Amino acid sequence: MLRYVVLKGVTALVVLLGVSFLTFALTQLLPGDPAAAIAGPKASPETLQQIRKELGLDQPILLQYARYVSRVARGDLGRSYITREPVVSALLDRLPATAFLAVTAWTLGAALGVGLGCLPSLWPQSSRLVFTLSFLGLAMPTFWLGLILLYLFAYRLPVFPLGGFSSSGVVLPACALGLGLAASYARIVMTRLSEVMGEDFIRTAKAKGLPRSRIVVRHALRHALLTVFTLLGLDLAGLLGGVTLTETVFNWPGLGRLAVEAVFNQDLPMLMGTVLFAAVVVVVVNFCVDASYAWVDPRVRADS
Amino acid sequence: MILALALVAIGAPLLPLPDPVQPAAPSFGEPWPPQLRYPCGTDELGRDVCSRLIYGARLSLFIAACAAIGSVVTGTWIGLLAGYFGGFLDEVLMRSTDVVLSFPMLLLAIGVAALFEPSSTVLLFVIVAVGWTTTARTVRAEVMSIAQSTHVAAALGLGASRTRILLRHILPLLWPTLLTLAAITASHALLVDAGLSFIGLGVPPPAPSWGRMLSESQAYYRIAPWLMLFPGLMLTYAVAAFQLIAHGCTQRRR
Repeated sequence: MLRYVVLKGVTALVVLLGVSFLTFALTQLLPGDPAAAIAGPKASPETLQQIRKELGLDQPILLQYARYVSRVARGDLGRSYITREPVVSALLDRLPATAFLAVTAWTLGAALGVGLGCLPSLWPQSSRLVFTLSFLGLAMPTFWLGLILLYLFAYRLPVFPLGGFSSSGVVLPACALGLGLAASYARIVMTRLSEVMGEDFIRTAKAKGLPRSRIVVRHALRHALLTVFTLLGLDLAGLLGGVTLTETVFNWPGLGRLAVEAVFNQDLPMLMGTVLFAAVVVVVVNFCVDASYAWVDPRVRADS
Repeated sequence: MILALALVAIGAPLLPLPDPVQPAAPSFGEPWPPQLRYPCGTDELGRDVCSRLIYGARLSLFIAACAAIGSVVTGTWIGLLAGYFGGFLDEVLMRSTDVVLSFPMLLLAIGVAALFEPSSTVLLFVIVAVGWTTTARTVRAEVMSIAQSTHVAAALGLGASRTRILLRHILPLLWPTLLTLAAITASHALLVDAGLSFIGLGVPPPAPSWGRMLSESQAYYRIAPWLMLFPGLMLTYAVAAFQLIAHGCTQRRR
């Protein structure tokens, strides 16, 4: 069990190293001279040289990468080109808003999705309906759904604010995000449940005379949720990394909008900071999911 | 479904449509609602929305198709190599896949796209760069199970080379999977394309694109909700069509 967790931890570290390499490589690809970008057009050659030296741009590339990794590991992601604010503090500023939205949307999506996914096993007549709903939910782009919701429930029927950070303002973006998530969970739970319902242990439960609802909820669902478990973790991590489009549509002051603003301002350290942060969140959450698998699924424990 | 859309898109220049880029109606500054002459209304510059949607389909479908082919071909190669040769190569390739998968797809796409001048080539490159991972993983898993089967052992016994086994005995069995993957990737590509266009990193104006039409419609939602409605409907229709293809493929295999 411990060996399994340690192994997963090492893999996660390797992936993190790869992530840092990729973000570093992306910044290297950028055409133009970062020193010139910082100093402005009127800088003298001596100033440029000075800045290059300060930033270590005159060093060999591998050394630059090593320094980058050690900086990042110490939590230093550089400063914004525009506001000169440290990127990390900007990220931490925006994190609560994104976390609030992400957790709300995720809870809504998981509850609605698992609930809908169970329906076809309880009432077989509903399977077509659930299938169609999940299909539509998967095909509809989240940001368009967001726009439609805004139009209907913030403009036509002014129930919710048109955007911005507030506790009632979270409802519409969370719905837009949550419905898409619910669609994918409903789809998976539905398929897995119909597979599991054919298994021997379900037949045993049926033979024991247990009511159908109890079989589905207590016996089959537990099995089907194992598949969803990984996905739930990954999705939460993805949401925490920033929900770019939805945050843009709803003017939500989170990480995703920070990234979009950084694009418009050509603020490279800020953009790469958000991208790196999002990836780190995914790797860490993924590791936690993998590690807790040993606890959720006894079979994994036995294997290692 | 997708065939209908593709036909209309390909045949767009033959249809009696107004120019998607030039103003068709003298409605400067004020979008017109849908009417007989302009079935989806006109936008703030008096351009026919219906025509822009159809020309937008040309671009979106073209990008989705190319991106799907590009992603699936890249992913297949990586999956084949990792799955068949295993060992260290497998470890390296799969960890790279993990690395790319660690980034939220759209955010990585934004990161890459922001480094270049927006154009359809860049868009294509970005979508392939973030889209190959699913294929690589699936193909790897399939190859590993096929490599265990008796016909591969038989070919090996007859002295076939590894390359030959890979190309002649394993690859052909992957076709149905690859078709499904291509359809799924195409639907993702459509969404990433629309998302990037929505935040202004897509194909530059004046070329019509669904994502940018949606983004521009935000300014006019009070007076012209149709500007928001139709591009989204088209996008949903196209994505659903690709997903139905994928669904059909998996159903048939069962």
